[in-house]
Amino acid sequence: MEERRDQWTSRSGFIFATIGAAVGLGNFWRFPFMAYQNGGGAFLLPYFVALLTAGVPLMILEFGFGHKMRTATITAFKNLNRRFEWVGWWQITVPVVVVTYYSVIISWALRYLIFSFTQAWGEDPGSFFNVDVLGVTSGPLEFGGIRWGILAAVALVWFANYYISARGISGGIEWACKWMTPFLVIAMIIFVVRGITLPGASYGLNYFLNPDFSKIADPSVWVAAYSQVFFSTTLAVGVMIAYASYLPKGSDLSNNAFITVFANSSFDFMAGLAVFSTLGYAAVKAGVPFEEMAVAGAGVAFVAFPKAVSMLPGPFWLQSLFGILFFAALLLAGISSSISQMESFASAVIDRFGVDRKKLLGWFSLIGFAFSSLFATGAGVHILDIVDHFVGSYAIAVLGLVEAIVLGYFMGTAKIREHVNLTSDIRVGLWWDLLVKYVTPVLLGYNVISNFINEFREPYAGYPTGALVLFGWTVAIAMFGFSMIMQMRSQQLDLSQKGVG
Amino acid sequence: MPQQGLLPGSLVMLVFGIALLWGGLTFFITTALRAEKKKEHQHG
Repeated sequence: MEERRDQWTSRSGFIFATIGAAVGLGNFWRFPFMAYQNGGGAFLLPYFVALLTAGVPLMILEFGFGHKMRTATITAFKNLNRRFEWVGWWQITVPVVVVTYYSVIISWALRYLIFSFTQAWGEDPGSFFNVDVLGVTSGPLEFGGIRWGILAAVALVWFANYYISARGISGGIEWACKWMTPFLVIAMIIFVVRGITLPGASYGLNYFLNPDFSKIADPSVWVAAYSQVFFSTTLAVGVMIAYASYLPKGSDLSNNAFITVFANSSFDFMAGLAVFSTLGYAAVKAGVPFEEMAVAGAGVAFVAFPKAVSMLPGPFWLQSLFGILFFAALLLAGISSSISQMESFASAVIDRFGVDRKKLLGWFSLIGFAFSSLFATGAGVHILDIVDHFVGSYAIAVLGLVEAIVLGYFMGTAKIREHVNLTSDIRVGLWWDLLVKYVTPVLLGYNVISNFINEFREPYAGYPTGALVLFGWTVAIAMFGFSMIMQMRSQQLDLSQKGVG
Repeated sequence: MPQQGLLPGSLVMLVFGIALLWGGLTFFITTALRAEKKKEHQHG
């Protein structure tokens, strides 16, 4: 007898899980600096347009597709048309690769949570992070040995991922996200209130919010806004299709998509307020220009923020408590996203082959941990940067384009729209078809082409070509190649089964 | 010496962000709560 498929036990559980998947480490450091570098407050205009014309429509598309097909990505595309199974396979290669290095960044947050008790970063958080914690080497081809402290923390992160995911949707992911996501909301409110009430906060906030409208005429600002919305909402990687496939019949789809996308963007905005106000205070206190405090990327969380924590008014224990809360929030934001990546893979393989969840995730975690050890070396931060760039530019963005074309033209947006409108609080009109079929493909296509041109103009971040080929192009091409191999094998398997039958 | 206080442009964009993002989120959550209440009423 066929086993009954697990499902979400409440609407709030589903929404907390989708928000948990979307809100990740990038919300804390990607959006604030993207705004800072692209016109300050003026960036909010293209960002909001991107939210409404790409984020929401694609989220409705994935919720509608997953719920209509009632199966995760591989089988969903296979059931749509056998020729498209490779799209599902390609989609799950993204979380499989990403979770191997994402778990390493989460492990940094775990280590910093412990460091916060004693403010172990001392007077020079930059050197502490790069030399003492990461042992960063001069380049991606100089490995420099395993950082055992990081590797131990990575093992704990993988165990947490396994522990939650192996318990399935209702007993694992829904249970965990029902307390992790509200914790993140409360923590973020505390960061914002603490940040904006610090003396000198407005100095930093003006860098984040004061608009430079001349930047809006620059196409690269629009590309940045669409990239931020697209990557930050965990689209095109099978996560939202898998999550929606576990919704009971009759569930709302369109309003849940609006809530997920708006909640994620509200987190983005709150992170901007919290980070820039705190860094503004630290810059004023240290008597240095803001630019000296504003370190882009992961450095904001692991260098600039610890520095600001140690400068906060109040006793040592209160500063430490703020640090503990900040890194606990980073840790949980990371875990709630990494379990969604595990689920994209697990649901897809379980639905396709009917394998045992615990065994599958057990093996996946062990093998994933082995791969993560590469990122726990002195070269890890360089390799991670290269892999992340190539996966984002040549897997996720292209997959978004392919998904919009396959579902928009081959399945037909009308079919999904009718399904969404059957049970949703908010009716989706023809505007949605136009966005999915025309606007999204054009914008993502432009994004992919401009990335490709830039790639050959100059080597990414000045890395040696050999490293870019080894960790960038090889990984991106292997992900696509794997999906093609699985497509051919699947067709052979189906033909041989028919022949036997 | 850095300027103190929010610049007028910053203030406008702060209100813009709060109104659109948090206002939008509040609207969609309220819509969901109303719909759930209505469903409960119909079934109960």
